[in-house]
Amino acid sequence: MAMDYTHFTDEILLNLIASSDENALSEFYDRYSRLVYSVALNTLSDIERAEEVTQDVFERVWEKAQSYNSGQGRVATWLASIARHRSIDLYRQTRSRHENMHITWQEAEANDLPDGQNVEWEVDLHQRQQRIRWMVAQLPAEQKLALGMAFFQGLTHTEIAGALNEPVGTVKTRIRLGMQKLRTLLQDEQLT
Amino acid sequence: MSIQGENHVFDLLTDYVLELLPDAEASQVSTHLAGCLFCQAEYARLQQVADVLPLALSQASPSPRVKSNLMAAIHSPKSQTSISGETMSWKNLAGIFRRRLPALGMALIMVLALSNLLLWRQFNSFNDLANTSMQVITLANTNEAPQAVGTLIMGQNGDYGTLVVDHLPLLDAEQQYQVWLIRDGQRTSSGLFSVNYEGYGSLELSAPLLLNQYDSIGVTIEPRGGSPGPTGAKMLGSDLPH
Repeated sequence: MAMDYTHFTDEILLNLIASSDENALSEFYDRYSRLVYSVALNTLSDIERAEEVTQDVFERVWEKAQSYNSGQGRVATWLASIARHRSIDLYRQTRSRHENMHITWQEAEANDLPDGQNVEWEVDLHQRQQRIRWMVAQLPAEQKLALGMAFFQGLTHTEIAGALNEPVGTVKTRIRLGMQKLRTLLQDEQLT
Repeated sequence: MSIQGENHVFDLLTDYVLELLPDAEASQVSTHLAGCLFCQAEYARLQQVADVLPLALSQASPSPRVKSNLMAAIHSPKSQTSISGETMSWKNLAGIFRRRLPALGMALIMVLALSNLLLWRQFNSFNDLANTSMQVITLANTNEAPQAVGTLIMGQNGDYGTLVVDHLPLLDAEQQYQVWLIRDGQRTSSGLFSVNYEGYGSLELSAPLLLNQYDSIGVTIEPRGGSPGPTGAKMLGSDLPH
């Protein structure tokens, strides 16, 4: 009987991928391509290049799956970090052509489950997303914007200040307050 | 900022986490973090925020061609050497058990502190664990569970082993699966496990002897908490290599 990959943990999938199991990569892609693509799209604001980054990230997963270390955090965190750094590198190469001052934070929504089989990993990821979205929704819009420009686009304080036409000190304060607020909410929720 | 007379870097940690600091300042923060428990703890909390921020983004799907391109692209020399099919997939599970969890506590904090800077480098430093010697034994199912799949991943010397099962029937709350190791006709319990609603479960075996000193392995259904000897239906079993 063929194995059902959908209920394998992320770590099991990565080990299978490390041994060149294409079905495992397919399942892993289905599980995380939306996250990777969303990070890339928010950084690059360019569908084609975001898709290039997405493919590139999963090719690297295919080649380097063994390098994942659970000490680096959850798989989603690891992948998102890779996607973000790859995207920022690409963004910095061509930012003059793609100024982007819009980060599409997802609004916190009703606790609906995603389509699919709702296996354990899917429910867990969805619940974490819902809780983080709620936390981010607690931030003032200007803090969310400054934080998003710094985090997802890798812009400096000065660059953000220039883009927003605000003093550098104001930008620094917004970012710091936003992070501190999220840190407090995260601790309260014991999310991680 | 100062606590207990010491100079800390709390004010810089947000920018450090977000990689907004110039290299010189980032280096100073790194140096301070290496020796300051207060700042390590604060850094870890802020890093957790950064880690989960991507989850708050609006999710969009790439076009189907991205996956098609990906699956086409991976047909590199690596994939050409792979063995497709169920047997190889189960063998691949051996890699799961070669991992060593990182140390907790301080080590974890330090890993968090450094991971953001080292992530990409670490990603490219392929650590091939595949050379570790493992044995993979496929357990035969029985008429009681004709769809069940069982695989024992065992150290080459029989010093450890983990059983992974799939498609075993979900038991009621009063029952568990029990693993038996048989030597010269004598059965020794090696542990209990349950499966999820899809029949998936795993167990790290415990045994007083090396696993390769036993003749065979079997899995039966037993009352919750286990039995001194097998009493229920046998679901999986296999001889063990010596």
